[in-house]
Amino acid sequence: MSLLQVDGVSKAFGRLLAVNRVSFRVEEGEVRAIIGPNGAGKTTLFALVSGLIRPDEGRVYFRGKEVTYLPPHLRVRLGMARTFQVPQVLPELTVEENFRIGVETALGLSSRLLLPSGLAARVGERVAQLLDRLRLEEKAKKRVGVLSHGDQRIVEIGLALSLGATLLLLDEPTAGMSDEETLATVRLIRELREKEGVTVVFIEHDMRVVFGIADRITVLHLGEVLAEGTLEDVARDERVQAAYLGTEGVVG
Amino acid sequence: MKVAAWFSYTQGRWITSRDLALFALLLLLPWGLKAVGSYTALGTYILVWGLAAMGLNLLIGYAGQVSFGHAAFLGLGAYTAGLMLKHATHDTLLATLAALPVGALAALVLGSLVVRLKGIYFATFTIVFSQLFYFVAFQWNELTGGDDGLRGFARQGLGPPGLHLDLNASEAYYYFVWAVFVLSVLALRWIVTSPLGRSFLALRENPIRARFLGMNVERRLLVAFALSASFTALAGALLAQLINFAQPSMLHWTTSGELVMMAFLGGRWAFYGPLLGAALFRIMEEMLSSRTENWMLFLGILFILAVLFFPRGIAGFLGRRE
Amino acid sequence: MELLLFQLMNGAVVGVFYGLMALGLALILSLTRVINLAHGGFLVLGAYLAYTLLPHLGFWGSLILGAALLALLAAGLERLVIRPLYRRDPLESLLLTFGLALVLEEAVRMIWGPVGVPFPIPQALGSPLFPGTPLFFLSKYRVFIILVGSGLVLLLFLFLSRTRLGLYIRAAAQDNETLSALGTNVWSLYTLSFALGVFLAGLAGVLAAGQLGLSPTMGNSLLMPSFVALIVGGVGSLGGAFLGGILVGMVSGLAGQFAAAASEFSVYLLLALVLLFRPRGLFGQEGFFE
Repeated sequence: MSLLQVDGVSKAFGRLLAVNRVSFRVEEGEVRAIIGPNGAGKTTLFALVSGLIRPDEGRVYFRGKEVTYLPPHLRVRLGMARTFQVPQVLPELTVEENFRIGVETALGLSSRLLLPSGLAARVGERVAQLLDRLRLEEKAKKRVGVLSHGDQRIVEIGLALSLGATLLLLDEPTAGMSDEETLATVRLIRELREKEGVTVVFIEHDMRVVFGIADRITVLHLGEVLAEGTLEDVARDERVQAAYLGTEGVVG
Repeated sequence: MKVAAWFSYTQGRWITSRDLALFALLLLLPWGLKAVGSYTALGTYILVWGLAAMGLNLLIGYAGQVSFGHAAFLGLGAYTAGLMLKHATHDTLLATLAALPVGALAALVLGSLVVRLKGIYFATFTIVFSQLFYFVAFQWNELTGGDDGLRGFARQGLGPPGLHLDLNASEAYYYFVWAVFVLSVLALRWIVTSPLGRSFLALRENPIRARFLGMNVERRLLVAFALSASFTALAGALLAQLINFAQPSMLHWTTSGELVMMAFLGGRWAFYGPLLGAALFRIMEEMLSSRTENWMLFLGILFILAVLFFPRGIAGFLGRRE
Repeated sequence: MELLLFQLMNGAVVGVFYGLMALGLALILSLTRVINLAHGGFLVLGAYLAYTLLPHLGFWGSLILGAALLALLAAGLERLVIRPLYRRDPLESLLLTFGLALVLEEAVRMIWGPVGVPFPIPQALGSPLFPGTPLFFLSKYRVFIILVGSGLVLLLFLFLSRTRLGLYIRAAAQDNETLSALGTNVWSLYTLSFALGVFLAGLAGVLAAGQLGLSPTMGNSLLMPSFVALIVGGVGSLGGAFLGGILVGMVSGLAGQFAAAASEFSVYLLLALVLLFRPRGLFGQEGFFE
């Protein structure tokens, strides 16, 4: 059983067929990159998988369970977390407060009026771990809204992490980041896979990141899966070259 | 002691020395008012509206949704208390507490219809609901006294015969209201510093992210709505017993607007902001209405200026973080 | 039977008022995304302005000029106090229009006094259209209102669909970023649509004054059903707003057959039904609420 299974999903907006009978599977522990030119339907696909929108046809399975029409917050509780092209964080709250809310929600405490000191300590520990891991201790008390774009992205990843998710959907995680930050993010994703066995599916335009960590690549073009496979498979694929990598030739 | 600290909105400890200082100050308010030539009931009036506005602010400032219909709950609480005193009990506390379940229930029913909507659409619907309640209070003569309002009741006191505490006097009632206010503030503070209260902040800051943290946004908002309405309804019950009268205008959407103004002017991102707003509003009303019949005009202009130049309210302005 | 027709006719007349109000609200909303809580206040001010001009210009003149002056004032206010808020939290503009509503109504009270006055309509319209027949209640004024109301809406649609300026306004409602990137002064379009929306309110006010009499509270009493009309018709649809108004007017007119209070109650009932079964309104666009 694959961790994530997408079967023939389609989504049209008016006359625009954004996603057309897309199918793919992601195995547990895999790092999958989804690439494709702009307008290929990548973000729409994410929206369908994460539950933000419903497909016109097709099905989505997570851990063998069908989630096609399951509302997003329930998918999150099953272990699916995502980030967005524009970082969706809690801007007026500090980094620490952001993580705290994430951890409390993940531990099922977010509806409580009372938090016994034992649980509070556990929350505090987890928050500290996150801050440490993402190297955000110094910025812990800063409001996320005033942080740099790259830092906001890292906080967003931190929020996804705070949920203890098994599947991470990252939408252009390194967009707008400096080389340093990009490297740190790549390292982080590797760590997640190696240490925690988290499965990562990410949309990227930065090929260095894709070639750096992806196990397999799914190429989307005009809403359809154009090619899928390992780095070599995809790089060699002529259709991919034509559609996406263009005349600059193949890397690798 | 920085003034800014009074208005910090981060949740932190449940009760601090600043809170205690405020409570103590409020104990002395009747004396202070009389010293400047005013009267105790104004203080009671301020506490009541402050509580109503702070209740509303649980929704506006913490959960991030604006209700222009909270007067519905204020009035509901007022009429509930009045009807309780007329038909069911002599006890002030009972009449007051009765408002809580009524307000909460009404909020759950109304709220479930509107939580799917967000932002200004939510606000617009709540305006209409406020008017619906106004209409009912206006028309249902037999129960509510219609346009004339609900009369024929008066606050009496607390406790069983023998242990009875008469609350008829202005001062006595002030201290009763003070006690309810303090307890309500403590309850509000508890909510706000709890994980539940923190989750409301997520609703305010980024409902999409809240959803993708695993929160059922609509349900959580409904909870915030109901909690918020309960406090405002409680204030309504206190109001009715202050003036021994309940009238339809308490439910009018413009009254809802006044509540929003108080929360906004005082500072919706500060815990005590709405109390400050209520105090300013009522004191200004008191001062201006004796001078001119058209004081609403000046208040309106002042409000417009405040929205333009002090969108974070006074508390927000004073407590601004660098 | 005659009674039913009478109620329907009255409903249609009142529906025109609601419809014009709702249309104005919808126009302002679709461009500026502001919910103009001061719409009722503008309506009242417009009616009183016309009333003041009445002895000098007669009915027609004061109708047009009153509404025009009102629109001018609205344009000025938009430029001065509303425009700074477009980039800010939409709550702030909502509150501002609320404050504006208070100011306008109080100003009317201050200038013209708190007591209502009758608003004389031209003699030519004062008599029934079919005297002596069972349709005697069809006063020319009532018919006039319906004709003028519908005519105005038609004019507005022609303006929006056939003229260049109308095209710009429609474009701004769809995507103001692209439009301003193309060099158009989008803010002026906002001002224009605000003024236009208020112009409609002003006209509605004068027409309503002729039918219902002039009073400082008339704005408030017409505002609420107009909001319901806007919601019922569907946010995002101008035509829907006007039709929503007619619908609300007719429903309340019919309900009024049973009891005076049922008239208002039916409006809320209509809203509740729409909310439950079609929350985006009868003609509304999907996604406006999500």
